[in-house]
Amino acid sequence: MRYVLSLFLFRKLPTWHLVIGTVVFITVLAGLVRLYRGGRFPFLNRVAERRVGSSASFAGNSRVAERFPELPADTAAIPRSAAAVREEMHRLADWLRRRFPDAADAGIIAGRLEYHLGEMDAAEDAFQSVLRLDPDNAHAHHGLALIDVARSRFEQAVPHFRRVIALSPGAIGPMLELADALIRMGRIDEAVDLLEKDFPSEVESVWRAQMLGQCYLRRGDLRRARMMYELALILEPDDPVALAGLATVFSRLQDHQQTAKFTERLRKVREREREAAQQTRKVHDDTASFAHKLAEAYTMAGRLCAVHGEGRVAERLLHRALALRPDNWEAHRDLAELYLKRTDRLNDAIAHAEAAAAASPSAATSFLLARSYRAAGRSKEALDAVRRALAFGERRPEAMALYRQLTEDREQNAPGASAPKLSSGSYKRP
Amino acid sequence: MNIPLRDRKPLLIGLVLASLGVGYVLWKGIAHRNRVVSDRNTNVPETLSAVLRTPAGKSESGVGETPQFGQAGAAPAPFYFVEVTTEAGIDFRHTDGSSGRRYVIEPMSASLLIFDYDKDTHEDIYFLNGAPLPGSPPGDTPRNRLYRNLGDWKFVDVTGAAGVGDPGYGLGVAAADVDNNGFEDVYVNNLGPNVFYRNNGDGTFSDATEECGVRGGDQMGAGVCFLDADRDGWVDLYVGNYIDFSFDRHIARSINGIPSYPGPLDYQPIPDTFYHNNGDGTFRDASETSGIGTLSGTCMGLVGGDFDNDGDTDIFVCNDVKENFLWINDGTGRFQDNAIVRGVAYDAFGAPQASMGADCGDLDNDGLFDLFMTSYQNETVTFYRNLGAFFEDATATSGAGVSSYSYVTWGVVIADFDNDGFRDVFIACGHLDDNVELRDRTTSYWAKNILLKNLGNGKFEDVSGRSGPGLQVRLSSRGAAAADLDNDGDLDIVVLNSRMPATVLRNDTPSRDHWLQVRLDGRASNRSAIGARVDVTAGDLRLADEVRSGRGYQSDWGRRLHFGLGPRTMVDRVEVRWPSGNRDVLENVPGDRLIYVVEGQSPASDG
Repeated sequence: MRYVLSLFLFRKLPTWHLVIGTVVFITVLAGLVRLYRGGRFPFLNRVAERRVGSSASFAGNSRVAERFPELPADTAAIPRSAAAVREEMHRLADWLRRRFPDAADAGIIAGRLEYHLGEMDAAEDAFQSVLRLDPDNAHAHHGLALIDVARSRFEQAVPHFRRVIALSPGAIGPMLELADALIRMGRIDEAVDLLEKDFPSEVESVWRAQMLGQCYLRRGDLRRARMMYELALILEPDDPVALAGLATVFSRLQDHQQTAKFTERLRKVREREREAAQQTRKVHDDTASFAHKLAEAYTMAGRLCAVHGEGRVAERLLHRALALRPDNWEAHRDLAELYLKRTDRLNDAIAHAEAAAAASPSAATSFLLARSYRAAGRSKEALDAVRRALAFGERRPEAMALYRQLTEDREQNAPGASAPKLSSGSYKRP
Repeated sequence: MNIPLRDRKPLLIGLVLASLGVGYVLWKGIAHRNRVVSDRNTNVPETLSAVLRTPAGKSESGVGETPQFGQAGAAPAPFYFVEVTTEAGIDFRHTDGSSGRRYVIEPMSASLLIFDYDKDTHEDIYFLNGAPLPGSPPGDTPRNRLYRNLGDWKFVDVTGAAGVGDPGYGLGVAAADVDNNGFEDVYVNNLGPNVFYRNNGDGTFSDATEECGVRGGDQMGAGVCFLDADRDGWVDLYVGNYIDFSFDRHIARSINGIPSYPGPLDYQPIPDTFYHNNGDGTFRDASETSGIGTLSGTCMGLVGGDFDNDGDTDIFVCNDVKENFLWINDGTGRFQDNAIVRGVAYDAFGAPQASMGADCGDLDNDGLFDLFMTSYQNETVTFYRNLGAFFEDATATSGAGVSSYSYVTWGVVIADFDNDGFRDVFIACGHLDDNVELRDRTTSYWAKNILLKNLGNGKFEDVSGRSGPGLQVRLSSRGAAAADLDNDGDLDIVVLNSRMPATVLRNDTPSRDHWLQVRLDGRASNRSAIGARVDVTAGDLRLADEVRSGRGYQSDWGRRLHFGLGPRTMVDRVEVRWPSGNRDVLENVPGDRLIYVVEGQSPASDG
């Protein structure tokens, strides 16, 4: 300190240095204050959170009070780390709406963010505004259906679910969710029709078998109920719902031995489940996993920007997604795709493609890696990667084409060498 | 150091700029802090009435306008409840002893008891209270409170005079005449030592916990009920225990980053306790010999009833995020859990629910006692219809559960509120997380309670929005109970609200239907007649009920049985089946009255 003062006192530094230094000092100080208020200092967060019971320690979140004026302030206090994530979610949703007012996808991402935040009115508005832009948007109908269910409005959820199924015939999830809603409303026959007739026969679903078992049990059709619960057990050998269902079926059939057998098995499975749940719940603060939802939204927003030709913005968003969740393979994939378009960033493209392939080994990520290597002129690695892609059994035309190209390149570069046999057997699926 | 002014100029400029910068930052910080403080102050409700009452006719959540009597064009109100807490002189305010640390116990408190402790035919109210927990600010010691009913909607606090102001952390309560002296005694299940108050018969109680041997361990209590398990004429005691909790094992939890209460999965389940009444003023712990101690659970509410219709009392226990127990009594006081086999361990989807409270009653008038259970958000309340050998989950087909899906539900009361001959269901709602709106706007900490009207065709209709201003009260309710507090032939409701004053709802339903109330007095059986079954036949209407002690969410009420008769003015037959095996029959009983039946003293007694 004395040294710094002496610099000025004895005029070893010119005045403009002092001015710049002061401005920098103020800026840094203001930035630190802002970061502190935003909850960006994990150490301080931990100190604050340790002071459990003192709500004042969390009082820095003014937006909570603004948004929930009816809540008593002493209960409206949340840890800074969580507040920061929530603030960021709000900001991203607001930004998306402003930036892409006419893009349905932006509305979907914003709606999902609001849904994660528990802001159901805002989420509903977002999905409704998407439907005004695109009345056949399945994601918006699905979002509205889920909100209706969460609000006990099962009747209103049904048409939305039906619309989703009509718009996306392959979507299994909404079909099962609709069946669940129908059963909760007591519309058993409709649920059975949906699960028996409309559900794709090639898909094996434990949930479907459970629900059908329940429906038949309610109808008194014990034979079919038993069949369905047994099917669920084939798909999931320790499925507790199926075990409970079979215990009920056999108790109604007066088969005490079987009832006791399934009851005992069920107790053991439930006990194991409970122990597993207790292990999971040892992580008491779920802020990190909540932040993963934000990462997912950033990834989708990044992709949206990329589609709209805003590569730089997309890059920033995807990097933020990775900062929140480093193993986010979709963000790696999208960044690799972005960098593939830029010759000066091919090494980054490879790095992200490798990360994506490592985090989520699949035909798509392996193919992306192959393309990245190829673009960088690393044919040997590209050929290995495309082989890995083909080893997943998905013979996509573009992968096949790349494989042929690469083998031709190799033949040209090394005359006399024979083209390797195209086989998935030589590579073990990761 | 003598430096010329000209030379010090840069330093001065720098200091001025730095001061300005620091000043700006401080100013921003203080302004922010002031805004937070200001927000806090404006969030505190100015008056209690602002919190308690939503003006009649004003809808908050789109439920609809409250119809008024004589209002032209309005749909007829199926029920009409008016809040009369203040007018009745009930000033009880609940405390959960919370400090922001969010101990698992805080949202579990508390419950209430309605009983006639002084036998003056007016039902009195006993509220349980919480107690300061570690970290809560010092203040007055909260106590349980007893309000004596003077009639004509006048209540007076007699806690001090009666000697029942236990300062413990109250969770469950039940009453019964343990010593068969004609007056009902009270058992309070606490966090820590429990308390047994012996009714002296002169308006006072004595703490007889130690001499009776029912102090219990240092555990976290739950619901409690009296029953005569072995039908020896002395009521035994079932004491529910929640989890193996201690303050040093507290877990701070969050959901989506928002602080939340821990749950039963964060702690170990523990067995409940069963005390056998020795008949000499003492009890002995019979948990092991009775079979009750063989299973560990996470008990919350419980209810006793003859579910298998074999003449003895069984017990249904709500376990929180664990399979429920249905203790089937073999008639000698030995129990075996039969919940899975009888279909009440899980809901229809095969999932263990966060079971809260349960009540028992014949909802379809088939002579079998059904169960109605409350649960957590994103689970519906569950209506288990008793089919004799087993129960079926009739929640979906009856329409009972749809409206409660978004709420955490606690107290549950099965009672015929409009005397039409079909028992309706009152459900107390309110989330346990006081900050749940921060992460989920589909629900709320404060919620309106739900009233389901039994349509008599196996269906229920949520008529909460059309049942008067009493059903528009929006608080975080816990225990609930029903009784005819004004002896006018319809059942009123009392609700205990977490951290808030209680709510007393007067039933002003404009019904022309008739009723009969029956009060039993055992002789060979226990004096409270717990376990006695009453069958009422009035023309084509057949009703059944049982005397119970301990029900709903850790509460107790209903020693006086109430039967709605519809348009029938005369009851053809009242048959009482006592726990002792005796039977009493009364014929041609006029309606609209309270009758007393003493065991073995009716004209057609076979006792």
